[in-house]
Amino acid sequence: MSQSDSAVLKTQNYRLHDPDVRLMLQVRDGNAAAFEQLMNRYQTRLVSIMEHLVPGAGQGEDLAQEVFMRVYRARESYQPTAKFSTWLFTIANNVASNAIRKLSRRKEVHLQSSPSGSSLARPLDNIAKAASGLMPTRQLDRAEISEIVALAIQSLNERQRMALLLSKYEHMSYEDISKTMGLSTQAVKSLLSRARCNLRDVLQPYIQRGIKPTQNQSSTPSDSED
Amino acid sequence: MHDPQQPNPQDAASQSPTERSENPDAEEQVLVAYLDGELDTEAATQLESRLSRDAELRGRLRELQQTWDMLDALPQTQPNESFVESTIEMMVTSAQTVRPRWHRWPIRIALGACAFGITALVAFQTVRQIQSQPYREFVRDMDFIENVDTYVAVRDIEFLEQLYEAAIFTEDLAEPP
Repeated sequence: MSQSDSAVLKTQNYRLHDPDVRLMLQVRDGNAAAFEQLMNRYQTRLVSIMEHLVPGAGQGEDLAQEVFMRVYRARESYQPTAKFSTWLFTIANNVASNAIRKLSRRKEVHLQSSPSGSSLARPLDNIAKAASGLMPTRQLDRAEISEIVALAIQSLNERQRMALLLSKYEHMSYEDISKTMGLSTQAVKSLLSRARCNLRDVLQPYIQRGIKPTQNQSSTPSDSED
Repeated sequence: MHDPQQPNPQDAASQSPTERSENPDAEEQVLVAYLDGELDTEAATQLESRLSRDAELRGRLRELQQTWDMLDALPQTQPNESFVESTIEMMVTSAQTVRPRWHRWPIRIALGACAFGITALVAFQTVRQIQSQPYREFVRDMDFIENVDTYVAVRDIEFLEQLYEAAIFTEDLAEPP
């Protein structure tokens, strides 16, 4: 079978099995109601993931809107070569990366003018602070856990965070994550392993004994450590 | 085909505790892949066999699972009720700001053509006027230029007026030979 035959078969496969692909094809043909339906399906997931991907910015909705705008602008050239969610989150990944870059540039300026640094720069210090009030009983309520977990996720680097969120909340396979992030499956495997080990290293001492993370742990992992 | 530079999940899954410590990254990858359901049946079986013998490994797996489960506590951010509506409005606004550009093209082209025509006309007239100026002066001075030898021969204008009044050469002027 030639490569073009294989591509056609793949396209037909996505057309048949992914209802969102069918909706997007309707959008491509000018059906605005289909696009509204897609937005209704993905808005909460997308806003949530953008909120966690771009830490501390509180601009999940704005970024999700940007993603939907890009999807709509690209509708005429849309080809179903992957699941719709894979395509959507690829765009989301790009939008988030741009936002993080902008944010870090702004943060650099902010840090230069304020030597004390922002709370974003030291998320694990915040975890330690949050933990200190809970140590006597270790009875963590859900709100406290969610705060700690959010901060722990922020301690991951951008790529680890993206891979983790796609795996956890979108239930994506390694293969789909690799397509979304433009990485090899093996790289995703390694990325997720490191992400989950980092989370464990941050959260376990806190869960078990309320121990403040050490200085080594509190250094945010860099992209090179992927 | 397995990449020789990457840890082989099957090897890691079947490692003894002594071997394991030499390659901790590979083992974590196997544990995580197992939790994610990404191990093939053979590697999963080997790992399960090891887990049944190795309490420490079970503990590590449990910790990874525990922190993974904690992520469920992360709240989903609910978008504003008007999120979809406002996004559609943004799209419409965006489309409107883009579309008129195309709609204005014919008007722009027409205005441009008019401006070009007017400029060209003004330029043409100006050049023509400038170019015709020496010719007009030449026409105006033609009588003088034709008789310049005569004018040079006479002494002054009063002498010529006297000749004219005396009508000595009037016939010559009226009827050229």
